[in-house]
Amino acid sequence: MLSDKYAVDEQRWRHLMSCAQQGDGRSYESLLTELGGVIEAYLRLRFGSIDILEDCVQECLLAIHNARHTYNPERAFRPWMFTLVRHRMIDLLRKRNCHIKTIEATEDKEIDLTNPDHIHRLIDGVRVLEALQPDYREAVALTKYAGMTTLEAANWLGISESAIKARLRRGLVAIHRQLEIEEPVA
Amino acid sequence: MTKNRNELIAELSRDLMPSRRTGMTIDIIIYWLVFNFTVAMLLIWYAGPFREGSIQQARANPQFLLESIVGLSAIILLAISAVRSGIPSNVTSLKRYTPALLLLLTWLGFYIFGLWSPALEPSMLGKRELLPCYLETVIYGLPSLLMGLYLIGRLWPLHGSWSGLIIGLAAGATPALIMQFACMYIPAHIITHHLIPGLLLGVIGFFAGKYYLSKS
Repeated sequence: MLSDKYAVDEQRWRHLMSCAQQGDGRSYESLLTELGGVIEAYLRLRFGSIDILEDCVQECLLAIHNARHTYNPERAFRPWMFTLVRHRMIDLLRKRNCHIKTIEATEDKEIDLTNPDHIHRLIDGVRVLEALQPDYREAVALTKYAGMTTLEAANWLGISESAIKARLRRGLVAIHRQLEIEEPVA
Repeated sequence: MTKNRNELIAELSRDLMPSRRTGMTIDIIIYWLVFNFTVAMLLIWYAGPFREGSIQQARANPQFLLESIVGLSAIILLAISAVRSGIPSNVTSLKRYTPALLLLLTWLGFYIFGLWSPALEPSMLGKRELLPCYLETVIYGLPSLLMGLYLIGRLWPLHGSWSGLIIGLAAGATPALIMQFACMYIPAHIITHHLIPGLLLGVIGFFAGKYYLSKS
């Protein structure tokens, strides 16, 4: 069922973009409107209700607009679009130094469970960790969440430092892969 | 961004002009390769004659022919991967560039092997007179590098430094390959005076791409 919808959407977006490349504004408008919703869902799933979400969606739409001449209608639309979205998001997050802000926020404040933003972030973080194998989860949690050095984490777990580094690397690769999944899971 | 999303979409869709599709990269690749080889050959020919009998040597000596073919294939593959890097896709850099880089290394490997078993009898025949050949290699690759950066810049490269590096390597490898037929054939000389200066264009391309190409 999901794969049918996937194929139908893919076909329609491909067609709409093809028309847009020929100068059909109406097709382009409906394509961008549809993509706006898809991108918003994609970003919300990964980052929760961040304050810059709407800005990010619009920046992604602009990137799609500026790169539209590079789309080849004979190829799949999703990989092209989501690659643009991912890169645009990375740029935006870098620009806004979001990661530093997040670290500062978590250091300075307790998580407020009455704030929907905090709950979204918490759920996302927990879900990403839950998907990892236990060994990798431990390594990531101790070094990235608890702030231990790899040596401290190795001592804590009673294993060698090289082993914890290997687990950490594999864990981060697994998280990276998980975040690269393009479609929001229904 | 302060606009409403619907306003933005309406603005982007209004008076939409047909866009020239560049998603089909084959024409750009062919255009660049033709430009690249034409410019390098003309400049090398203008600066000094080709080594006498070099074409016959390629016909008569399979090792010499093979290393030339591998060099040519490496340049073509580098050009393809550099131009394709201008099209957003989920292909990783590693997957995109590895075959071309491996072929380039294989080409280099032929000359390292040639240090012990050269394809041709090493000789001073073809020594360049106007400019030292390492300078020729770098200078003659520059127009192709600039053209490559311009063509890729019209696309949407997401990793400008990588695209610049690869197109720089292709641009530098071309005069290095042609020098094989123009300059003297001594493997050590080829490595130090043709290939390494050619690879230097990759480094130039890397930094040029980083500042000129990156859409990030």
